[in-house]
This record gives sequence, C-alpha cells and structure tokens, in this order.
Amino acid sequence: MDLWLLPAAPLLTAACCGLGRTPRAIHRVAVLGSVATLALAALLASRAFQGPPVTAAGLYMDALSAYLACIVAFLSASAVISSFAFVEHEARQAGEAGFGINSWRVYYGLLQLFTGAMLFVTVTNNLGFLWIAVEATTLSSAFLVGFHRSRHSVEAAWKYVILCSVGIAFALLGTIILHEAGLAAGNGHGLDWTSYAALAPKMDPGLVRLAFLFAAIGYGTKAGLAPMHTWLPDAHSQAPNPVSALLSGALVKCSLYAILRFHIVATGCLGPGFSSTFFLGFGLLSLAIAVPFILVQRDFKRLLAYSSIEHVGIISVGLGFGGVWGTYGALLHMLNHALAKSLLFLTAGNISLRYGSKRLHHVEGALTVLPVTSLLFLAGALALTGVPPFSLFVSEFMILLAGFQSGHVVSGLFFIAAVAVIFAGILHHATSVVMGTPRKSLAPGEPNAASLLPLALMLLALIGLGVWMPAPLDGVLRQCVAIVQGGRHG
Amino acid sequence: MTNAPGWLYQAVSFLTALALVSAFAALSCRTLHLVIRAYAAQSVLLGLAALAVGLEPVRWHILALGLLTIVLKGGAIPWFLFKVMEDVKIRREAAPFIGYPASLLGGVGLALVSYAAVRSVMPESFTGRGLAMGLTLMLLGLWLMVGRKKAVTQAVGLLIVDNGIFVAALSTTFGMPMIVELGLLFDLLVCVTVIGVLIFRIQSSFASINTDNLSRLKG
Repeated sequence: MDLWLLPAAPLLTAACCGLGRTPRAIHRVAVLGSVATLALAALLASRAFQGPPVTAAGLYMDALSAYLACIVAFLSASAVISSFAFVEHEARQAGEAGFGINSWRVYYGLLQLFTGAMLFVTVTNNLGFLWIAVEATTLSSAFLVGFHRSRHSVEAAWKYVILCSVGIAFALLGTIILHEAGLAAGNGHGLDWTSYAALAPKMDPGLVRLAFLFAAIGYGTKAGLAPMHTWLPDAHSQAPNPVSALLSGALVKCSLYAILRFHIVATGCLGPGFSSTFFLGFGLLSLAIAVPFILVQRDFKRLLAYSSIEHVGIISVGLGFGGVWGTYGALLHMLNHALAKSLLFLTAGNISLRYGSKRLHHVEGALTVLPVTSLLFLAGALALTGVPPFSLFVSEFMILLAGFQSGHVVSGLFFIAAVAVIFAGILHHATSVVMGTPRKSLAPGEPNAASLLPLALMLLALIGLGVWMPAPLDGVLRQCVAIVQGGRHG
Repeated sequence: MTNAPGWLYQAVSFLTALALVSAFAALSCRTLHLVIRAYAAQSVLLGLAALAVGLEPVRWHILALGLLTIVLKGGAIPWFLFKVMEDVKIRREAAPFIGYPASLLGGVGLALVSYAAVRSVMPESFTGRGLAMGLTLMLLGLWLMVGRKKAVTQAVGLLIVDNGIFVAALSTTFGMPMIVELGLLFDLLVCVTVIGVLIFRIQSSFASINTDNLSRLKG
C-alpha cells in the first residue's frame, strides 16, 4: 500500500499549505513537502528498478512509471523551491488588497495538487483513472495558468481548460473502445492496463486501432502535439515561470506517457507499425510547426513554449523511428528536455523579473546585470538546441541514428534541417538577451538566489549525462525500452 | 440488454431519440436560458435511459449511475450555470459565429455523417446504434462550441460532448466500472466549477463573456 503514499504526499502538503499563516511558512511547508515527495519517489522507484513492478490496490509502478515519477517529483521540487520570488513579485504588483495570504495558499496548494495529479498519472494501473488524473492535471493547473489575472492570462486559462477538456474527451472515447475490445476478448469489467497488455494479442485489431487513434489524439492534445497544440504557447507563456517549467517539463511528459501505455497495448495487438506511424507523422508535423514561430518570436516565454512543441516532436519522432535506439533516445530525451526546459524557464523568469518584461527586445546585456543567471540561461539555451557537450545532443543523435538505420532517410534529413534552423533561431535570441549593454541602468544582483542551487544541479546533470552515461540510468532506460517494446509486462 | 423485454428496448430508443432532439434544441435556441434547459432535459432523458438499461437484468451500478446523472447533470450543473448567468447578466446570444439556420443544417449533416461512419464499421445492433448516438452527440457539442461566442454556450457544448461519451460508454460496455464513473462525475463537477469561475473572470476583465475577445495571444 505504500505506493499510495506517492500521490498522497502532495495532497497532504497541499492541505498543510492551506493552513499556513505567513507566506514564508507556506513556502517552507511546500518545500519540505516537495522534498519529502521526491525522496519517496526515489525510494519507490529504486524498488521498481531493482525488482519486479511495485504494486498496490489499483496502482502499478514498473520502471517506466518510476522513471516518469522521478522526473515529475524532481521538477516539482525545483519549481516549488524557486517559486517564492515569483509569487512575491506578483504580490507586489497586485498590492495588499488584491493579493492576500489566501493567494499564497491557493498558489502553493494548487501547485501541490497539480503535482499529485501528475504523480497519480504515472502510477495508476487503471486506464479510467489515468484519464481522470490527466483531466485533474488540467483542472488543478487552470488557475495557476490564470494566476496573474491579467486579460491575457484569463484568455490563456480559458483556452487551456476548454481545448484540453474537449481534446481529452476523445481519449475517454478511446478508453471506452479499448474497454469494449477487452470485454470481447474475455477481460473482466476492470480497466487495468496490465490485463490489456497481457490480452493485447487476442483483442480485435480494428477496435484497438480505433482506440489507439482516439486516445493518442486526446492525450496528444495535452502533450502539445501539432496540430492540437494551439493552447500550449498561450498557457505556457502566461503561467508564472515555475508553473511553466512544470507544464513544459513534466506535464507534457505525463501526457506522452499516457499515449505510451496505449502504444504498448496497440503494439501487442497490431505490431509496432501502426502506432509508430502515428508518432512519426505527428512528431514531424510538430517540428515543422515550431520552426517559423521560433524564428520570428518576440516573447521570451512563447519562444520556450514553441521549443516545447519542437521537443515533443523530437520525442515523438524517436518513438516513431522505434527500434531500441529510437525508443531509448526518446526516453532519454524526455529527461533531458525536462531538465533543460526547467532550467530555461526558471532562469528566463529570473531575467524577466529583473527587467520587468517578457519582450525579447526589451532585454539586453543580462550578463552584466545577472551574471550567474545569465550564464545558466545561455548554457541552458545551448543545451536545449542540442550542442555537443550537453546530453540533448546524445539523445537527438540516437534518435537520428535510429531513423537512418530504419531507413527513414527523408524524415531523418528533415529532422536535421528543422533542428539546425531552430538552433540558429534560439541561439540568436539567447545571445541578444545575454550580450550587449542594458538600456536602463539596473543594479547587478540576483533576484532569486534560492533558485540557483537546483538550477546549477540541472546544468551539471545536463553536462554530466552528455559526456558519461551512468550504468544505473542506462539499466533503467533499457528496462523502459523493453517495456515500451512490449517485451515485459505484468 | 440482449434478452430484455421489447418495451424496454423501445423505451431506451425513444428516450435517446428525445436526447438527440434536445441537442438540436440547444443548437437552435437564441437565449442562453433555453440552451441550458435543453442540456438539463437531455441529461434527464439520458439518466432515464440509463435507468431503463439497468432494469433488465438488474444492474445496480447502472441504476445508481442513472440516478446520479439525473440529479447532478440534470439538476445541479444547470442550476450552477443559471447562477453564473444571473451574476454576469447575459441573456442572449445575439451574433453567433455561425447563424442559427446554418447551425441546424450543419448539425443534421454531422448526425448523418456519424451514423453512416459507425454503420460502415459496425453491424446494426444495440451497441452500434448507441455508439452512433454517442458520436453524434459529441459532434453536435463540438459544433455548438465552434459556432457560438458566449462562454456559457461553449461550456454547454463541452457538457453535451460529455453526454455523448456517457451514451457511448453505456451502450458499448454498460458503463465503466462504478468507481471510474464516480471519478468521471467528480471531474465533471470540478470542471464546471472551474469554468464558472473563469467565466466570472472573463466578465470582470472584458465586461462581456464573448469569447471573440479572447484572441489577443498570437504568434
């Protein structure tokens, strides 16, 4: 039953945040709770990595879920740690009247609920609850997206809730169709993923195909796969930066994880061809759509949001190329992108806090104003674009290799072209932010020193994983690849 | 439902047909009041249909589900939407994106398409008809959402999509396991609450709930 503690820990923390009386106290409670959640996730994950899947009533944690749970818990902890400066900034802007202690409670409470919902996505075994948890991530983060209360953030929150809810309605239809296929194949009335994975070869291929399509389109909306991505740049750019880091680093991966679970069932029933084609097509489309928007972008956070669409595309292309290396690369890329994107959102947040603007052309010469943050930002941008010493290069290279090995020459070339153009675009924007001299005279100094530690850790991890793959992580990824390819379940 | 008496079959068909009519009513009504009423009526009809399905042989979880549907989707949610509407003081949908006649005609077209699509992959049966019905309701809900400007109408569109899923689940697999259905209902209630609060915020920042105001974020 101890697996239930994992989604329960953030809920408990949320309740404690609701009782806090001062902003500092709420922040401390939240940090404590998140670190405890992270420790719990690591503990449970190490059990799942070393032995058979950890199970509890209705829950199931194999290496794949454990891997995702660790990513979610780590990103959530670092987002919470760096939240204080951002919320304080909001409070100062809104003034005493508009921003009481309740706003602090709501922010930290919802952040924890959001984390709890994502962790539940990773460990639930029931496909019905998987859907409920994914919808719960939307609902718990809606007010975080609209936290700023400007016209723009209200607009972003509305689009986020409506489009994501409509989108994943299709995933529910897909779940129902899979349920029907399972019943016909002799499954009981449960919706357990493990039993579907075991029954997959006996299910009706037509129904499974339909179920996968609906589920993938539904959860793909939430993952930000083009052309269902239209809500993503708005939500990611209007949310407070720590929330954007979570939306982009963790939530997108959780939605991909939901598709992966259907992918495994579909692979068991139809072979790898059908669902891979889906991943490849939507992945390439996402890459293509991200390119122009990144090149002409004027807003910091929208730049990062479109880059998220690009990276979802890359992961999806990796899954589409398939094989051991494509899948391995895609899974590794999930971790890499989560680290790099959080690093960028949080550093970009520090920079725009100081400059008071999200507009790219308002910000110049950050290096003289915020030396540490700027260096981290620049390194993060280099990492994000897949420059060699960083680990994103490794995972992108693997994916590319898998593509050429499996004979997808045109897709591979297109992939290289898109990544290269995006590299130029992001680097252009990043250098113009960091270099030069600031227009206004801003006093040097870090506005958010507390966030620097997790950020430095992320950068170290990005460099470390780029030059050296630790044997335990390699083992974990190989286990995950085996699960995704349907080699081992239940 | 396979060996249920004929009158039950007919009752279910009749009730779901009326539910389909109420979706068209939602598409054709000009005042937001009536749109919400149409949704409420639809939910009650579907709840009754679920009760009929659960009668022979007796399936307690479907009976409970039918009752919950009538109470929550037919009562509580419409009541909440009426409250929201009263507070934002909006009554009519004056200038929709898609005019009312076109909207109705489009709805008929969508219904034909979805029945034809389901017929082409499934034989004529209780399940097939139910799935076609569910898909039609989903499409009509989406059609309502894209055709209207008022945030309340878009919310009702989303709720009709949800009703469509309810029909699909009921007719293919006699509903999800009870605990999942309860989770879905809970999600729906939270979703409606979140949407209600967001409608207030839209009203207070734009002095209107026309969603075409919500088009500033671009590029």
